[in-house]
Amino acid sequence: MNGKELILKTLNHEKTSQVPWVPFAGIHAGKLKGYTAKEVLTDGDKLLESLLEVEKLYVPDGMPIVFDLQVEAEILGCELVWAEDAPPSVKTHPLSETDEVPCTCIVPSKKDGRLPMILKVMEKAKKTIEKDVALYGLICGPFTLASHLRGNNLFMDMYDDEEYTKNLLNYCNEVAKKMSEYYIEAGMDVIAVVDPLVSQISSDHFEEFLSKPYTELFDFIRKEKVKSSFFVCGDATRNIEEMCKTNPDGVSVDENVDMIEAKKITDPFNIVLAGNIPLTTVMLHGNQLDNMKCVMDLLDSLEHQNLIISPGCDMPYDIPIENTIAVQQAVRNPEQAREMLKNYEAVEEEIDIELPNYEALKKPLVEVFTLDSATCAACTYMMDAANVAKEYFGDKIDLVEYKYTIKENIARCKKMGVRNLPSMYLNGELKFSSIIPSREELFEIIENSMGK
Amino acid sequence: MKKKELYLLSGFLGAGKTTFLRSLLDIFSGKKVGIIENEFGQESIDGIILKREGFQVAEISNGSIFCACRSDLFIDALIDCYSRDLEIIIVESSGLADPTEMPEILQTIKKIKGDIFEYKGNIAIVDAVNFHKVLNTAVVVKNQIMSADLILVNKIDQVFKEKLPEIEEKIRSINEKPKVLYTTFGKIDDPRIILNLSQSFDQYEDVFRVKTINNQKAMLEIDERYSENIFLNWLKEISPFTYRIKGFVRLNGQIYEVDSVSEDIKFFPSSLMDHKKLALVILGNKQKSLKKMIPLTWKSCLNRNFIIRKDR
Repeated sequence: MNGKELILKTLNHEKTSQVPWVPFAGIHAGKLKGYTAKEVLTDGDKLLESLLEVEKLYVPDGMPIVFDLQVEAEILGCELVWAEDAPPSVKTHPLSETDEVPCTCIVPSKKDGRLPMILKVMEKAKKTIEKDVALYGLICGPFTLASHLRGNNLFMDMYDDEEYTKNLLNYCNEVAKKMSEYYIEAGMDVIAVVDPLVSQISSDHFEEFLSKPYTELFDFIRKEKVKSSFFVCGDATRNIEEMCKTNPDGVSVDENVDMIEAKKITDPFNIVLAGNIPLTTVMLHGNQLDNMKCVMDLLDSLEHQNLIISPGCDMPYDIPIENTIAVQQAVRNPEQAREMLKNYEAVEEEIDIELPNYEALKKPLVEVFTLDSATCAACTYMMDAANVAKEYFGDKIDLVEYKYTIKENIARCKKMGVRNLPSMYLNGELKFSSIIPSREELFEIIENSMGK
Repeated sequence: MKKKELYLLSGFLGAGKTTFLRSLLDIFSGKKVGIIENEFGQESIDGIILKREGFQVAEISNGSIFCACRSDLFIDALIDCYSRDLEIIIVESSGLADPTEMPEILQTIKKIKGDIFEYKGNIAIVDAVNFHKVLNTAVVVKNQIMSADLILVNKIDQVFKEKLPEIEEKIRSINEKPKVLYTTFGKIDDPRIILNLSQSFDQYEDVFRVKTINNQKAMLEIDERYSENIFLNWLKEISPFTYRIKGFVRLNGQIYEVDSVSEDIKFFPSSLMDHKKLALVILGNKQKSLKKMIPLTWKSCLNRNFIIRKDR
């Protein structure tokens, strides 16, 4: 059985002899050929070349063509900020100053933005890669797209104007359906709907605002006889059950979610669970044995039916190639990997971090712990909320971001007991974890701390 | 039946498309000309005026003719024009219309009716006064220039001559191919430039297309007892948040016409004494929510609450 067959059987909930492996090599694919993130996301020839290298080195069962949640946003008028080693981020929000919802006839066409390039690469990949590997078309989920268009105002809208929020989400869902249609036409075997901001809202809000559009979206994909996956990064645990109710074929989660607990939720729904090798601590900063151990821990602790092993999200650009190869080896040859790990000892660098003296601060200190606010959508919005506070309070407060991609910050997280990213601390106390505060909430707690 | 000539006029709000249309009608004097008027708002004010002057006019309002929800009406209107006793059809697209979809429209018509049009090209009108401002804020302007077969830099009487090479340089950085003419009131010295116009779709290949999703519009019906000075003050307050204000209002029984491009306000008594339907169309820029600013400025200038009804 080849990789494509394995993926399709798995997403069809059949028992298979092996657990499939899907490396989410988006911008990381560019590293394999020495191309920057921007090059691999804008140049079709370089993208295809990089994808062929992914196939060669990582021997995937499934792989995405492009991992960029900003494709739709760019077409709809968002300005992007590009980086050399990360996907672009959204700089401007065309609906931030208006409460109009765009007409559902204004959706991306195949000639818009980078779609011509992406569709061409998909068609070429179908001819060269597709015979053995399932191809994933990744689209931006409607909630994250709505936040790209509306900015942080969206989180206030959910309280202040529910009708507007639903109408905007309906529009974004039409965009998602259109994108799915194009990617399916281009030959994608799986449509993965990636919506990081789902992990930032409560299950009540998910039910109120997202259940209906997502159910419609997965029904739409199903009618086209293609498999679907609901991909959320961040601590989506509280929403996994609601996500399952929208009826995707699979759910993808990252390292913030406990896979064992998640599978207890997805199995009764007969939905595939994919994940969740930690991107930074293991894939980026670990060694090959760390990666193998992680895979073996997953394989040993989880029922193999309805399971796909993958990185938790879009692989960081600089992940050592040998680490990903180690993952692939462990998935394909688990007994061999087990043998190698017999004498394994995890290497932990002891880095000494000095925490501030929180009792003696002269002014409130806001500390934001992120994966990387440049690349993780949820982290971007958490950091935006903090920046708005800093702009308002000016020199009366201090603000620091600690990105998990820096080793010293990983040590700080451990010392402070930070469990989930993004998280916001005030004067050393956890205030917000994976939920983005409203402006009023955040300003209030800062003002209260000034009074003390 | 012989092919009919088809001209497309594009250009941002207030650039002078309608004024140029009148020049074209002079150039085509003696020919049977049909006009398709496209308005972003709900009322085609220009269409009303042209019909009164005896021209055959089809109106497509409430959105761009190139938008998926209007393009079927556009195609129907073009096919209908073909069946009429006309030699030339001029399409004046709305200021917010993106003409890069024109090849698709023509392809569709070809499939339905065959090769019935000789498409002469897209004449893009550029507003010399507001060019730099709108180019930075309205994505559609770049596409209008990019898909142009002839470019008119209009209102040159209202800018310093030294600015013109800068404007042309910017235009050329977007599209090198078409001729660029400098005009006032859309007047062309040599009509042969129009008569010999031919289109090229080559430049469409390089267009990086994006959508404009945040166009704001409001349509007001104003029939009030305020003095013209007070109303003019309100126009001055609201105009910084708009691209365009166009239409008619009645104040103390007198009808006035408003024709404003950003903060360049024209407000004067109208000669249309029997205008039955008052309509003032406001197209907002991206700065602030129009639905918030209209009542705010109205209250500030006129000391009265203003409620906008939802218009679509």
